[in-house]
Amino acid sequence: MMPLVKLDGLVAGYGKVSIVRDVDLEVNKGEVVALLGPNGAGKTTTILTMAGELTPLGGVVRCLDLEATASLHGAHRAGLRPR
Amino acid sequence: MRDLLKSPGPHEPLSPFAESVVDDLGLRGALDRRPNALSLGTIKLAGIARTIIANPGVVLLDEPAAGLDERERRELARVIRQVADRHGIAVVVVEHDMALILNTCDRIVVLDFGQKIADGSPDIVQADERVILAYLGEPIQAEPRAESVTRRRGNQHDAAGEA
Repeated sequence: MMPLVKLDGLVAGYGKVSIVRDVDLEVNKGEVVALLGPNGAGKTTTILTMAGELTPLGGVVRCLDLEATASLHGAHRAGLRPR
Repeated sequence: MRDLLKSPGPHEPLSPFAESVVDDLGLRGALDRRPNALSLGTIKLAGIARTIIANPGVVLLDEPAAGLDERERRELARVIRQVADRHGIAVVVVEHDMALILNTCDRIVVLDFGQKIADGSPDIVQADERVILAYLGEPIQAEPRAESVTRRRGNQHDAAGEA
């Protein structure tokens, strides 16, 4: 079963400052996954990047059948773009 | 609140799917109340209802239990589990409420300083020494089963029966 959300080596943050480094994650249909961690761990940065609110600084964010990469974000200023 | 759940506009009746979501989430009694007359918990459930009605494949929740009382948190946990089980939606939730997490989630991913330090079932993650050191401190027990939602997949009767 193809995961509905897939992060592959995600690097995310604000400006040039990376908060999240090299995170892999898969979430399947009907699955509930919690992101847990102390303040500043990168939870909200991760979820905002999944939502397309933040441009990934590196790695791949894939949500449903759409994929966003750093280069695509930079080129199109869009949250998610088709593969 | 009824108008907030309508698509494409407030003058249209609720769709049959929207009606079913309202019932699933226990919002029938709040439909004809004004938003400023609703509790924070009901407002948050209404937000989740609006999300489901949009028929997403994925729902992302950032600290949905913030500001809720204990009863509202239990209801939120039931709804999150139901969103996944009944509608087949993938849910990612950022939350500090350990009871909600342990009773609701299939998996827990733990981040520390921007890196993933654990990824597994609640039982496995709770016992992970790196997680305990970074975040949990002492092991936190889930709520008693009777007061919680089920984590078992596909057992919708249990989830619905605990409304």
